[in-house]
Amino acid sequence: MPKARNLIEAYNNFVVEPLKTEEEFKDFYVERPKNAPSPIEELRDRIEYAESAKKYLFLGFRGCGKSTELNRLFKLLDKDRFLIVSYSIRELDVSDFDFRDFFGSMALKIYDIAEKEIKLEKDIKEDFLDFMMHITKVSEEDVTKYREMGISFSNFILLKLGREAKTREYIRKELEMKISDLIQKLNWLTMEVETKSSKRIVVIVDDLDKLTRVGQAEDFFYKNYGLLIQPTCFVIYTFPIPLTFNPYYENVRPAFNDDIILPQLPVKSKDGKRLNVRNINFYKEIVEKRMDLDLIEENALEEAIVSTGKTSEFISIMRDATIKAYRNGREKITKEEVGKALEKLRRTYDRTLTEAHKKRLLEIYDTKEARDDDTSDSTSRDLLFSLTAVEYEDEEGRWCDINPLLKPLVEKWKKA
Amino acid sequence: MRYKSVIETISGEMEESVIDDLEEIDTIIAELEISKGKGNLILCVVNSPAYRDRIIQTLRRRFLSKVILAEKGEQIIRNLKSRDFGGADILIWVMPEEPTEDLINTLNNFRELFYEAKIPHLMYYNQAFSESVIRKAPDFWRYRGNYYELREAERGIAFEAIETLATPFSYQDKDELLRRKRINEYLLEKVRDKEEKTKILGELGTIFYYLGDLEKALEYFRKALKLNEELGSKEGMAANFVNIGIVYRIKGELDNALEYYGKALKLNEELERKEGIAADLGNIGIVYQIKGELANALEYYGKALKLAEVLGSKEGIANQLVNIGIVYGIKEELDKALEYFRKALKLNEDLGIKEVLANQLGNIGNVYRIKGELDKALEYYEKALELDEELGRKEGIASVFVNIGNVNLDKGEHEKALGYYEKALRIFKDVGMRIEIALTLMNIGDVFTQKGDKEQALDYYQKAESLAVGTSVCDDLSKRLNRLKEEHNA
Repeated sequence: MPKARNLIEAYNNFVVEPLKTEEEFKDFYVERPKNAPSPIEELRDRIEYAESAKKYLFLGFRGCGKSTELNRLFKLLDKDRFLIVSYSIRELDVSDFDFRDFFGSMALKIYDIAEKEIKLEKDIKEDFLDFMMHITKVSEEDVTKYREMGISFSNFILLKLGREAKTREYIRKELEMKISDLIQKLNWLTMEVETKSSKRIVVIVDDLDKLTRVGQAEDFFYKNYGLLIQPTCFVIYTFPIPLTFNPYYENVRPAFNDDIILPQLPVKSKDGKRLNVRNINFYKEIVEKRMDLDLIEENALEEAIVSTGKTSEFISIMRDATIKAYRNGREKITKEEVGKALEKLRRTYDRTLTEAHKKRLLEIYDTKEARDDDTSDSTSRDLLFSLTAVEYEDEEGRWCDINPLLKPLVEKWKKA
Repeated sequence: MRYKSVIETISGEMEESVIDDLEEIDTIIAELEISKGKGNLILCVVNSPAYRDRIIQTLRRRFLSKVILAEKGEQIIRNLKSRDFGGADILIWVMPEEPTEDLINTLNNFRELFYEAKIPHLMYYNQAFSESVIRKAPDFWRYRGNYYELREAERGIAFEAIETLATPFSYQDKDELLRRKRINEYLLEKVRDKEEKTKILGELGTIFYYLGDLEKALEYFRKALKLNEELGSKEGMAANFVNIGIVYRIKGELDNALEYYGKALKLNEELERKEGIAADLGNIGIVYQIKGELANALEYYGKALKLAEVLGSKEGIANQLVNIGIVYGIKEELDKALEYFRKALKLNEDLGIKEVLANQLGNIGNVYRIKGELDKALEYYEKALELDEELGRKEGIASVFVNIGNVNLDKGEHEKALGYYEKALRIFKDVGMRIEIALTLMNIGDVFTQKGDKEQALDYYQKAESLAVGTSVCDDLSKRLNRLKEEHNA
């Protein structure tokens, strides 16, 4: 992906997918500013120097680059010493997600690794297979049938778990009483693999923040955190940052070894009066990696950065402005196209927000804090979930504000 | 330009006459060209299925396309994973009216598949679906390559504001109305007491108003006014000023209406009659709304609402909530509009005033139509129509006909739409409602525009224009006429 020299190439370079391949990292990755570096190198060190397996929470907002950073962790860890299970919960049915399915699928992933890396002890293997077949009500014949079709045992069960409500029903009913049995078997597999391969297992659980409803994510973490720390391998759980705004978070956090935050970089100071030049330059560099800076007027670029200040939103505004400039027959993107792209998105958000949302956004705007009245009130968390409100971190500490894109609407809302 | 532009190639053909958002369509085409062979996800909000289909037709002339009507999440996943798109350059997804949880979750959880498929995707859905995507599928929304809101020139929608009559009046059905008419006519002959007579005259005016006979209503209100003046009853005068104002408003004589409302307001302020003041303010708001002065309208409705709250008048509150809801409906702040309509509906459940209920149902239907939820809109319209027919509310019936016509036009059912508009037009003409006649003529013109019959369209628009002077309908008409002229000159 060479750096874009014209608007068509630029349009194609502004894609919102997380960086994954070597080439993408080489061409597009931008190091975060020195005063707010990526926590991934530190996380790698923690894992590599740890004496025992730890459990981490990895926090960040939607679209701030979490998946990209986790992909980096995958690359950074020493493959001679670690077996990495990179796993997205979206392989399951996220809309009907339950902690029991989660442990079931995690065990299957580790079984997969074991099959690849070592020769499993016959007893451990049989014990695990029998147990899984029992709790999913799968017969020997089914397994054989799918094996002949080239589908492995774990993939077969995972498919059933992801697609069939009935299988989920079985597994949940069975695991009601036997969840610790499952975790024990998962740990047996882990020990067997780690001993025989002389490598440690690191499970990276991505996309837990994609659970669509706040309640779903809260149930998962707050009701089951005791179980989440029981596997004997390293586990990194992505954690939806809006959940930290639940008072219950403080009870849960100490159970994990550490909570690692990928902070959202503010483009202005807390009082909104000063521009944060370092962070603005970070966003500028993102553009510079993707296209020739001659393709955009400087004030247009600044406008796009200051009005979004979030990686994925910034990139999609750039993409929209790029196509608009191309259509206008321009050589470079101007403030006009950026303005139009911003206005389009702003109008859409405005229409989507309810009165209660707007009222709370005004409070956040005034107080720089996002709090819900009690656990039954999830307005602030909803706003943080949908990124219409954001938490920032800079030298002034942590503070919240409304999405910069919405600031021009404040006066209108106040009047209403 | 390096690609074929819709604007440049229309050469007087179909596309020109049927697509309003040529600029946007051109941009979409450019994006699709650029991202051929790569993943891209362009989201388009279009409410009218017929309009959407015309746009799709246009695109299909330029790209080898596969169109998928999505119904289930599973089906989307299967299609994307199969990677078999029959050699198509682009995939066009048409989402259903209803944003089901299954679909929304699938989009959110399998968003990567759209990029992995290495083909640009264009997804069409309505506004209600779009709002669900933003709220409930934020990850999918974040993955969009771009998005558009495409809308035809909006058709005239018959929102029904609620006028507050000087004297509260409600009835169960048309038979009751006719019976009351006979009783009042009988009593008018018998009664000698002037004060009683004014009441009877006033009620007769109101009955004719509900029967849709505006001339008769005006005649009775005027007689009542004259008697009140003789009696020196300021209260009675104020009441008849209001009622006369309402008749003028419905006839579309907005300045006359304002004049009478103003007279009523002055008297009510003198008398410190808060109920009267509230009614006058609300009614004045309606005139501003029709003129398209929405901020003024909101201000008057707001004042009226406050007074109604002070007075604890549930009916007054409900009426103003509806009116405020309509302004938000017109401004396309649809959730807010629905919120107001629902609040009003709840209040009215206790009050049980059928004509208000019919009106509210129709208005809620309008909101759903604007959101693109056509079947839901139809459900509401049908309920409203049933009530209106029961009550013999001509104005209500005709309004619902216009709105059902709109749904049919959205669906591309030209003849059906025309049928409904014509039925509405007959009633509006019969009652003598100038602005509603203009609005219906404009919509009929839209049918002909869509059918490509510009001459007929022009004819209808011009007829409508002369009737719509001084109202927001006039602005809508100017836009249409200008476009036809531009196309004619091109």
